[in-house]
Amino acid sequence: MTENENEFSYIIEKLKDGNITSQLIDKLIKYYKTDKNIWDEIVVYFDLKNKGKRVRKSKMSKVLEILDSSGKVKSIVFIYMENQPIILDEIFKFLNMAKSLSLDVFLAIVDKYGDITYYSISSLSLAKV
Amino acid sequence: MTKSPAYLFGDRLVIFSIDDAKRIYSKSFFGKPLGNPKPKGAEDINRALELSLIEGLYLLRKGEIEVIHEEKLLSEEEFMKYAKLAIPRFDILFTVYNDLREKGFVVRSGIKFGADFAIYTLGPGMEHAPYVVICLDANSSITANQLMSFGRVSHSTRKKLILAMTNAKIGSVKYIMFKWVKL
Repeated sequence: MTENENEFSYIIEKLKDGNITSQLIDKLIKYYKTDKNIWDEIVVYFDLKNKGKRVRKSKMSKVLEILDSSGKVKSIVFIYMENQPIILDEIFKFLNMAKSLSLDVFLAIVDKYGDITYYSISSLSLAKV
Repeated sequence: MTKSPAYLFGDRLVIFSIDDAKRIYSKSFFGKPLGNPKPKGAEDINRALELSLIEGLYLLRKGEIEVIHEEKLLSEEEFMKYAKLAIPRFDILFTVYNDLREKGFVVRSGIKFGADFAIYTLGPGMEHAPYVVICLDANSSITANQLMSFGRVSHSTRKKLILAMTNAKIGSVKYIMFKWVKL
């Protein structure tokens, strides 16, 4: 685990327990300085957990991984805030990477109230059947 | 091959000859007869046929029509210059239209579904358009909010939404299927 992943797990655990200390807030602020998407990652993490998913943070910012019962990554969730620009080429590269690993890809779009909408995305070679 | 004269009026091309209109329409559902948005077939074409400038450029390149603007025959370059001024995002729309047509799809306007195109495998009137297509420049960015509005379109119309990401300079198109899910 990277330092960021460790920190993320720590923050998640503390938030889950409702154990909010000034140390936790300091950690969050410190983390936020290096990853502006931290709060959205947390929000989506909790939402997916509430839906019964096994989730962990990916090494990439804005990305969470959904695991199957054996602990293998089966899907990746790309997180965007509602007014954040989405670079289309970046999405396509991401899809190609996921396809090579046989992973499902979801976009989680978090609005200004913290509500989350999920979309599945997949690349396709459009051909007339 | 005889080219059908198509007359330019604003952002529409019009084929006045009914025989030509029938011929062009029956090629693969190109255009729309005046006042008849849903013809059942070429036999229903008994008025002038209007074409979009996008359809026009495709047919011009295929050698099916010639474009006349105020009595002057336009070259492909002149017509393209005109079309680009008349239609915002013309390059992007045409790149996708051309790619889909070359793949064998029937491509019609998707405006009533909030999209750029509706595409059919058989043709309008023979099936409901299974896909709607929104054309985007692959080198641009959009906001997540815009992306969500696309999702709403496909969800409310119960159609599969395809985002066509184009590189108009090299004419390449990549397609992404996009749909709302309940995780």
